Amino acid sequence: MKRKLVSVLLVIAMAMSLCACASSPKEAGGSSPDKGQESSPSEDSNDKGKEQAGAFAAAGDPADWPVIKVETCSFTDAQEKEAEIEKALNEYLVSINAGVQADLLPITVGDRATQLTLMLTDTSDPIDLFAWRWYSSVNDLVKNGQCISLEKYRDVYPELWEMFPESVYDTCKVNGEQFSLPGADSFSNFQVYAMRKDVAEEIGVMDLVDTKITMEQFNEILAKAEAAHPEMCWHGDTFVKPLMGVDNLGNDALIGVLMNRGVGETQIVNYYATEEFRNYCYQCKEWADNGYIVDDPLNTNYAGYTLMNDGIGGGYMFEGYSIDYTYSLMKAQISSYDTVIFQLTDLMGDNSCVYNGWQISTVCKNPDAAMKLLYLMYTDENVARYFTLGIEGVTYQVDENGCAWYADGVDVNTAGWNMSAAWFYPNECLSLPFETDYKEYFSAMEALWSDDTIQYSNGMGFVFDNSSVYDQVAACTATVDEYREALLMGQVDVDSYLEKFNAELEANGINEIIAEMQKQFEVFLASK
Amino acid sequence: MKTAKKLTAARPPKKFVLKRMYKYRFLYLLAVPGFIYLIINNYMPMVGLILAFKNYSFAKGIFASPWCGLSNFSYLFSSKWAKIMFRNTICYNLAFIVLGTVLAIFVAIVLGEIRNARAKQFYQTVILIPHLVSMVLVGYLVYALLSYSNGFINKGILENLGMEGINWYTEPKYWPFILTIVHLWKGFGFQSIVFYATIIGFDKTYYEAAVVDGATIWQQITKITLPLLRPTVIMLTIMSLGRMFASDFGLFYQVPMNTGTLYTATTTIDTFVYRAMMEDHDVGRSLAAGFLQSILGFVVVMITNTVVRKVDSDSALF
Repeated sequence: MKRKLVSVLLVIAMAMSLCACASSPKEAGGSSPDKGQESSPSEDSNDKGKEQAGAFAAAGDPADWPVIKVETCSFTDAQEKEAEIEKALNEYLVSINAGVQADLLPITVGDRATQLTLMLTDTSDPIDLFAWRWYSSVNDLVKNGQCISLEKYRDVYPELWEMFPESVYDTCKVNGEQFSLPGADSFSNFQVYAMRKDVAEEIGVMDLVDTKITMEQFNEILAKAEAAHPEMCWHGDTFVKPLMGVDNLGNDALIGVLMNRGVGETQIVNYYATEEFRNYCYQCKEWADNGYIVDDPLNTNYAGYTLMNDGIGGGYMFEGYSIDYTYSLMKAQISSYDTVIFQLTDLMGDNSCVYNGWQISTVCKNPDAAMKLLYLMYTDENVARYFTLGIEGVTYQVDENGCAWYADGVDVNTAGWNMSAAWFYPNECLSLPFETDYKEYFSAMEALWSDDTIQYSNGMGFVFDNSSVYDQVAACTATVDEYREALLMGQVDVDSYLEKFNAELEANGINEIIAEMQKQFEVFLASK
Repeated sequence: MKTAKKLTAARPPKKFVLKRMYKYRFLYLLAVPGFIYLIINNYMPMVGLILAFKNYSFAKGIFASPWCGLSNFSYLFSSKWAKIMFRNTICYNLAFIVLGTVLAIFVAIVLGEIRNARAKQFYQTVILIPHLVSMVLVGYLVYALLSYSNGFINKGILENLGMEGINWYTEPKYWPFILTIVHLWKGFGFQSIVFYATIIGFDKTYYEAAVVDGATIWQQITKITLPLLRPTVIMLTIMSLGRMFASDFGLFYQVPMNTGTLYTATTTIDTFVYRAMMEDHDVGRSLAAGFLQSILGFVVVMITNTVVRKVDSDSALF
């Protein structure tokens, strides 16, 4: 009898635990702020696009306002101030009668792809606003039905379509329809080389600092540095598009690019079959043979700033829109050394300069409210700063120059909020320069949007619809993953490896892809 | 004998089945949560396999997404990677099954011959440790051995022998051996414990009688242990064959550190699909590969079991 009783109890306990597993977080006591959301989550984005959108008006008690779940950028799990910041943000939204509240959702960068994919299928506790950076492209989001068209909001929030150069908006369109709004950025850049200042002084190249130098001068600097410090490496990542001189047309596998960063170019080419790529590979091989590249580069985290902070690297290449900006960036990234900058290329704009965009998910139950919050994130500096910096006096403080710094007694480890990723949010230019005294950090960036002297790629805004050659793209991308890194890290013989690389790309259909791209590109050019 | 077998195999009357179920009702009740768990985790998700034939839209969900025929399968076969990933998946699995089984049986028999109880416990524990180590850590252990600049093999062995170091991570030809060794090292402990548990269950009188008849250790192994182990080996082999088209993702992704130059040796169906899916998050194409793996695995199990049943019906799984 006792055994029977035990067995029955066991069954009940296990059944109850199974039921508990099956219950929603809300039922299990989790906080799910999806009140006031009524429309069907499975509506087609196109159907939603056909609806008429009106200006979103606040109604009734703020407690009944829709709550929009919006992702925030996190590099660690330590986001203890999230609840406090969310509360402060919502108090502000109530104070301006926004009609919408926010539910902040920190997603760590490392888990982001998996987390977002799962959340974008979750209709019971949906994510409403998210960014595509490090996750996907607008084209793929639309193809997979993960975001809705924003066209119906064009007349409601026209300011959102007037902030950036028109071609920048085009990068977030698919078949002429706006599905995502680009995140504010410089939309143009040049390549720079950052070097430890003590090394630059030691090898006597300070006269070249802050100037544009030639590749010969660059190689002389590297040779002197290596001679002085053979224990260090002088490169991080060598996959640097401005120096390679290509417009990636939104695809970092570089399957079909415009040369000269697209400026004056109308012909899409297989970059890997060009003399330019071959020469760049020779250059990388030379760097590797001379000991400039980190040991075991195929298995090493070769982020330049990590190498430099660890004392392994003496310099690395990255991109910026002005020399002052790059110094400011270096201060944020390099804590152990002072650095100097050498400019390697000219300022130009292409598709690779559009790093991010924001959109409304298809599982969002109240797109009008989500759009309202997105609008505020783009246009209201208070809203923007809650996301980028947290709460003034708690996580940050502002100096007399209008630059933000960690609040007293607060540092990167105790801030409880990620304040180093303003660029992740819709409009970083509404934020404040952080941990830098370069007060024009954002205003100089903003000035570029209306600078007519900047040369832009002819392909700026071109979005390739790869659906007719999807299999070829998947195969060629796998081939690029197989060969390119070893070439750019100088680990293999260039001629023989490049020959095999191109033979496989051709066998996998790169020429068909480029033909299709060219066809679509000509239509794109004709429409401009 | 044939008649007896037929009688044994004959289906019992329905009344008897119900009566027996009633008699053991509490045992069945105990199994209910297990069955529910199995249904929820293993059977209900099978509905999702229809996505392999659909153009999945996150907006429309599983059932409302439009059908797309076999187009999700095409990318698997559209390049040289089809041949490579199927070749690698099958060949590695065959090697793992054969070598893993032989090694595990060998170790199990050796364990069975150890008379010192403390030593036996110690060895069992030691050989089980690799099974418990995360593949990410294994990847770094392998890297510590194979690093071109600082690895033990290059610096500690080849350099001391006056030989030039090998850039292991740019040479795919070494990796079938490296991956096989890593797999065997990591898995043999667990597998051999399974065989050892079977061996210690054998009737000791067989061995006592063999000793009386003057059988050597080798003869005891070949004439008693191995024949008695056969049903277990067959069962485990059939189960392994069921996973013939699946691969240990950690082994093929983490251990070679996802190094592009090694893809020809390290790409299996799982790693190819993972890499492709990380590009564009296309659920339908991902499931197409999973569907194909399951179907092919099922077919292999059925064929193997049929062959085993014909050769030795007692050893067949069903």
